[in-house]
Amino acid sequence: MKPEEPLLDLDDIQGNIFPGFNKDHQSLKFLAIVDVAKARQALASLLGFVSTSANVRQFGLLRANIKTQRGGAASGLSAVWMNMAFGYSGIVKLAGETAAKQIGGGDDDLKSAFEVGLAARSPLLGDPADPGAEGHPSTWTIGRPGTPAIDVVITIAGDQRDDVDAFSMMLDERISQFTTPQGQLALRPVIPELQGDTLGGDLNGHEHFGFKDGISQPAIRGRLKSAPNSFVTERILDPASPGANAYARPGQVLLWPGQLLLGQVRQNGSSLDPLPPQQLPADWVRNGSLMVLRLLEQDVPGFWNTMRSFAVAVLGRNDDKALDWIGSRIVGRWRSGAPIMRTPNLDDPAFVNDSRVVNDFGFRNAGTRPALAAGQPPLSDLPLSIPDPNGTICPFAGHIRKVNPRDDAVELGAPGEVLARLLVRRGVPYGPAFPEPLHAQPDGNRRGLIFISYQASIERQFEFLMQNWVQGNDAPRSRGGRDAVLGTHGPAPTLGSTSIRVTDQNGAQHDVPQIANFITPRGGGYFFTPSIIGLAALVGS
Amino acid sequence: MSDTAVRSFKPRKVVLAKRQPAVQVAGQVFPPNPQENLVFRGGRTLPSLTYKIFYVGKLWADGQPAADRVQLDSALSAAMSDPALNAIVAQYFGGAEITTTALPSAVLDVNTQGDYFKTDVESIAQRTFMSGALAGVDLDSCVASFVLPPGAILSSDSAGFGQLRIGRRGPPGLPEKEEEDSRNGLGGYHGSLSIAQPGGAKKLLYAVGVWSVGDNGIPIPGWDAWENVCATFYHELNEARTDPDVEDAIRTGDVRWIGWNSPSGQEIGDQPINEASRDLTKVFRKVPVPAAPGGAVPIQLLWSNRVQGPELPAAPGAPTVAALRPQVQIITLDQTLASAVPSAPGAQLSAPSKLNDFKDPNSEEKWSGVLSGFFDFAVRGTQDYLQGQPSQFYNPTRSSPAGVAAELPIKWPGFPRLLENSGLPTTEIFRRAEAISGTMIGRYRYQDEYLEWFVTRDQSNKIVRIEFTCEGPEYWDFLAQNEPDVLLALYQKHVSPSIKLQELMSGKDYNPLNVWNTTRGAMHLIQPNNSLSAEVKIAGDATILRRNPDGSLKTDAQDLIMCARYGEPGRASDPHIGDLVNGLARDGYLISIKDPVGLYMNRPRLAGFATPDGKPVGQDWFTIDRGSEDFILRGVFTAPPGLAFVVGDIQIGGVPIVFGGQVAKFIDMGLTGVAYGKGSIHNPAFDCGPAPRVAVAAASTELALTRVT
Repeated sequence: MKPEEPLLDLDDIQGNIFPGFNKDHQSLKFLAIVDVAKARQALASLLGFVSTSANVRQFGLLRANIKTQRGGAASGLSAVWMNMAFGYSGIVKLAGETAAKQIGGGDDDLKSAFEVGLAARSPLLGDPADPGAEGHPSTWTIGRPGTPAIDVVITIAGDQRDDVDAFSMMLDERISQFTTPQGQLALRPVIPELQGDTLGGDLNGHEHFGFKDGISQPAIRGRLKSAPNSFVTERILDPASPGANAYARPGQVLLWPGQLLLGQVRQNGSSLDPLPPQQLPADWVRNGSLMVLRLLEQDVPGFWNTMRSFAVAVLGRNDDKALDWIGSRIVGRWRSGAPIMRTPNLDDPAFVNDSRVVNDFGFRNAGTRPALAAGQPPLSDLPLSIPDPNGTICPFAGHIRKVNPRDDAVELGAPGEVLARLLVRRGVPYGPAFPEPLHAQPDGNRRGLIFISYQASIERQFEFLMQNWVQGNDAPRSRGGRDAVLGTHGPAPTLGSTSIRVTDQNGAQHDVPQIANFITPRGGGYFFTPSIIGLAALVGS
Repeated sequence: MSDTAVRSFKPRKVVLAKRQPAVQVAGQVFPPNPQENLVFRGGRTLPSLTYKIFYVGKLWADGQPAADRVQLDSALSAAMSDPALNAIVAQYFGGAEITTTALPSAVLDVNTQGDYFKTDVESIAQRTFMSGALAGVDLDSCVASFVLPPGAILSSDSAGFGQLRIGRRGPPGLPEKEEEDSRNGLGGYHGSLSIAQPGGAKKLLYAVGVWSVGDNGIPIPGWDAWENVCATFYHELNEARTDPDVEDAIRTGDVRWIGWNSPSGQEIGDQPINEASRDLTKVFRKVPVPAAPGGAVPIQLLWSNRVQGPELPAAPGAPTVAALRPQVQIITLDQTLASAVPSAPGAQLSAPSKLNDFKDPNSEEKWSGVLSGFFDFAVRGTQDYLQGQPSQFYNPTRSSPAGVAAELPIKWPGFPRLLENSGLPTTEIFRRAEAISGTMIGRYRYQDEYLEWFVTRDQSNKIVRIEFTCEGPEYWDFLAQNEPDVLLALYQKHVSPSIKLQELMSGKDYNPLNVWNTTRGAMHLIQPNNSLSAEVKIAGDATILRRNPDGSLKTDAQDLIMCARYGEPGRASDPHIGDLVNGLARDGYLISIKDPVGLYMNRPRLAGFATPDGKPVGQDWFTIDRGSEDFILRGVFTAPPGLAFVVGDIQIGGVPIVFGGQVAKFIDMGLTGVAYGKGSIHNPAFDCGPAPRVAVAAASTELALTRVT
């Protein structure tokens, strides 16, 4: 008998954790608490603006309804959302050290990643260890050691940049009303506001290298506290079909909410039975989530230049089609987002335009046509994914195969272990786009991704993925090589060189050395995003 | 007896019991010794015995060996069915008549070896069965008897199948397991093994005898070799008749499997040898048997309760007709390897990491024999399903496929996954993994990914040293049995110079849970699932293809391990090894494990490890204590000499090391599979669970039902 899914109070959960803001424009404020009492008042004055899961979910449903009503045309709806998170130092100031330690899973004996912070953990993630190197924490613009700690992060997201900016100014104005007796702001910005915007035009929804991003996100299990007969995530599979209890929609896995939210039942490998919730230091911690923020600079000309050399090595030519082909091996998807497991040799937007298709593939096993719930329009007759146990279609070092091996053999044992590693990503690009990324030339601008993820455990999820899979030569697949996009390559003495094995269209294997890094970390931090009740407790306690 | 030797030079447990006053009884050889009278323990006995002799090696087909074979067949058949001799044994059957049927002997066309370990004998027995040579024979009462080629050494040293013996003693009356070889008085033994056949697993009783001549086996002065062997098999077959299931008794420790044996665990043939002491001619006799060519047979006298000692037969019975059988059936045994893949001769397997610990020049070969036993066991496990079809798992000591192997490195994290997934708080997970408190040893209980570690702390409770080991316990048991000096020296070198041998032993057995390998150190793996034999068995089991109810092949790691039950699904290692091996099997490869067979750790990944002064921790903190860079068996994580810091000062990503497990999390474990001949084998897939009943069984059941109705 399948276990009953828990009731989730979406009025108590911040909306970027679930279902995610998913907006084209975001701004992040990084604040230090200068005066605890006044800062509490300042934060209390903002609580009414915090967007809940219920807000964001209802807006999404309304927009989808209107779009459907209008035959797919834009809904015209616009919203601005706001969420609030706290660094370890902020929690210590507002709730004390014991609670802060336990939120991150640590205690007096053992510090947690949340406690020691991203900069201290940076070398574990594969960031440069040499203080002189670009990307070392000493070069960061956010969270650089020795700079004031970031106690509070406020995320503002909206459909229009102007609306986001106006909202941001409104918040600043409110914050400015709370000062110390010496006239200082009680909540003081420690670094300038960070802005992220979608790339515009055809590149909306894509990251700077040109690939559609954020396609694959897990869904969470649970029923609405306000309507216990409804799931928090829509289920569109035929309830009688074998996958119905594992997927919300084709390829979108269902995870127990404790994968994201503290105090909820947790994912237990592939078992349908969850693990009980972890012990909480206090009730107000329930429904909170740990947030990872990373500012990842992308070297777009460098990426495509490397693809050019890869294309020559593998295909013997470097025209745009060859670049696209090799780029799709490196990422695992075509630039459109179409998965190469379903369309290995041709970028076909038909695989992206239907959200029931774009994630429906495995790496190891043949795809099967999913049975859909009543009322779902029929699926088009697109080819299913092809079994690729040996990495001949998607290399084992291909980015999407590395960070989510799906049904692949993994070093952890059962593929169900993959589920317990997954997180949700809420990133947005920053910096100006190259209209034609394949032919980008260095222009002196900084650009990249504001990577944001939510998870219940930084160590077991984000850091595990980075340490073991992205930067691991032998995991999840022995001798698979490091992540071809995110991995740290090159002749670093501690790393050694790796190669990615690409199989060309004639079946010949090519081991192409991975020598260039495309990503440079520029900062970030580990934060805790409390529940609505938690926010009230923090500012009121 | 199983593993209870027929021996002349080193009689076991000579009981110097007080003798009764001499009272001469007919047939009596020695003064009565009632204390050694056989006792019935409740097990099975075989009033109607069948046996079939298999001569191992084609050499027995021609020339002098063939002549010896004919002599032996005739004499043994005559002895085993002689009424006067059987009348002695009949006392253990309530005086009822006992019968013996000698099935025609056969020659096995199979490569011969210089040494035959128990696993070799069992492999031959298994393959003989698979050849169909015992078709139609009632296995419940038949003893398949194997005569080894001249010159071959027989050893009962099997080292078990990875089961550690922890100084455990069986109940009174249960024979002890012994290890001997035929250069030290072993003439043969009898035992049993489980073999699948239609209707489910079936027990095959067997006996084996060495060709006793010179310093090998039990040669009797003035006797021909075949006469020595005749006496040996007379002994073994009568023991099999009165105590057929002794091996089950040893395996289970349950004395109720035993038929007849003495209070000191001696079977019907054993005690007479003890009584004879150095003068074996007292019990090895040529006795008159009318049916035998020449009218006499060479036998060994058996224990008789009625004379309270070895008994000579009464006057000869009526002559019967015994025919010499010059014609012999020659049976070619299946090779282990699939015929589609060209094979090369087998090779000796190395010690773990190709170490040169051994001082005795014979140990290398013996160790290879131990590993060979693991492989045979695993191959036999596949045959439970495949029923004579080629196994996809092979024993590299017997033969290897020719050509270049595809190598498949298999790696998994060394920190216990089951514990990590327990849902416990992080600190508690680390604490439990290595806790030592009274009899609770966290390592024994939790460290189940073939990597174990032992933590040493200073007075301020700071960690100064973490020892990691991934050496299988069987190797250390082997050292204890064969090279105790080496065992001690290695413990002294790696754990403590003050260790004494007796601290490592429990009686004459090695104690893997000795104090120096539990509470005071870590020399090798002790977690019950961490063994070399387990590694080999999982790999073998995983070569069996599994199918879903709709007939499609199972491919998911979890699905496979739940289906085949070759390990613990919650570990990383078992499902991952099984997953990758089964993938190779699905591709039709012939699969084994690369030499040196073992489990090996990687160096810890130290990126992010730093000393308090911010300097990165280098690999000079990790010393390979046993093994080589490619095959690390033992590593020690401690500060290099001259450094002011200790392990407990190190931070990993800003978090100070307070548990050894924090370092273990950065160590991967691994082994390497080898695979030959992609697509060369297309074996059927099986449903989940144990080996299935095959169609023949269904047919016979149906037939039985028809008869009933």
